[in-house]
Amino acid sequence: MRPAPWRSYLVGEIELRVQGPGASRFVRLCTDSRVPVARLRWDGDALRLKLPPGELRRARRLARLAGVRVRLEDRRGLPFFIQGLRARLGTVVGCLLAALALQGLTAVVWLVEVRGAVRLPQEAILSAARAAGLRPGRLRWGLDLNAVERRMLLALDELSWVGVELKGVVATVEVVEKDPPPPPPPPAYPLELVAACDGIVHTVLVFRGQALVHPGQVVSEGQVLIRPPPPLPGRPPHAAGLVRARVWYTGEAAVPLVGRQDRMTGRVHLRRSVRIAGRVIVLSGRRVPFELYESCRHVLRVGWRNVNLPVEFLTDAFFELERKHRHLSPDEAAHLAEGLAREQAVTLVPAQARILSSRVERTDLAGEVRVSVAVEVLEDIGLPRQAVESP
Amino acid sequence: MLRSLDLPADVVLDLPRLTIVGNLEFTLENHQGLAGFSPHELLIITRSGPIRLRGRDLVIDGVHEGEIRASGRFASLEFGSAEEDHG
Repeated sequence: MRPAPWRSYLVGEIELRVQGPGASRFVRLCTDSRVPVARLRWDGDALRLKLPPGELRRARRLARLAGVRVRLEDRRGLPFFIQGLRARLGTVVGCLLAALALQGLTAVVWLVEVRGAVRLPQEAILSAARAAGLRPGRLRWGLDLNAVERRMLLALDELSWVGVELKGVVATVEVVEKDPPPPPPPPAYPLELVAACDGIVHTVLVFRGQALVHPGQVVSEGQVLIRPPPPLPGRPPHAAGLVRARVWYTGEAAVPLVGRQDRMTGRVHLRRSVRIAGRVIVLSGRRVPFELYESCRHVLRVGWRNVNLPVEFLTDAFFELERKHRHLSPDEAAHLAEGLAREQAVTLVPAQARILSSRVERTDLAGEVRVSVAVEVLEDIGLPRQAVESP
Repeated sequence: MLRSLDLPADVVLDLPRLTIVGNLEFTLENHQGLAGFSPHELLIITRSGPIRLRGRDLVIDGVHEGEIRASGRFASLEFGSAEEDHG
């Protein structure tokens, strides 16, 4: 019966090289003595064969009888593998320790991320997660994500749903916030419309109440525009209407005649480092050879599928900058300053306002040009406020 | 007698049982020993006489408990008489 290959591997197998005129006799003696030889083949004038390691002593005795020389050529199988491992005990222990360390490092939650938070601050969510048992440094085993979700939902009234996902060493807390509460009901006390800012009234349209201003009138901030109507049953005494006025917004900017400009030279320096469990070890390029530079970082995370290791490879690229001084003519400086001042003024204009015109004033000073831009807009300046005097 | 009782000859007369797969694999059960082996020839002693297998690149894959397995490129197979073996 032929032995199974796995049995040969478990028991082990040695290969012998038999040389001499009595090689055939040696084979005969082996078969007669029931030595389980296998893979007998001729290799030039020598015979090669395989047999279990336990039969080597018997084979050597038969070789002496046959008058042949026997040389051990190869050893294979589990016993020899274990023997080899014993000889390299340090390597085996190192591998085991590395595997244990890796297992230990990946058994811990290293990072807790929050997604979906709009109004609620992230710190509040992280604090609730911590209280529910999810925090960096916590062991992954035994972490009941459903329980964490339930506890967080109970702790934070502002949330309508919480989902916790554990991916490698990163836990992601995804939240859905509740819709904001409806606006409060209108107050029962009388309301009047006052001017939100200074301006010249352009249009007055009264829905409820009595207008106190007329088109062309200059109004100042806080001045009453529409007085509330007399109280009626079931209807609060609230003034309502539309008061459009011309309002000015100004922006100012100064540009020096000698400008400074940084430009990339094209030289790049790379720094490679590795971050293991929060500690950064620089591998190369520690010193940046540029005085002035801009930098950006590329992070490569190590992982496979949903297993992420707490190891990151960082590459920092430093781009050398060259500082140049640029001399501007007064007109060029004024042009630049006007752009900046206009941008500043326009950012103050409310979204619903319509820009009518703008006025530019330029002042040339020693070494710089100052420009002021006034933008004239048409906007609704009515602002509801509790009436000081009842109608 | 064997035919009338429908008994297998290899069991009753202790004869060798030979199996050949094409000209590549050779298995012989119930042999009496190996008489010679070279890359071109394999000589096996059986109770019914020597069996000579000729070919090239002959390899004995295993010799176990009354069974010999060999492989290679076989050219011919020859059966000798029991007297020839003993003589």
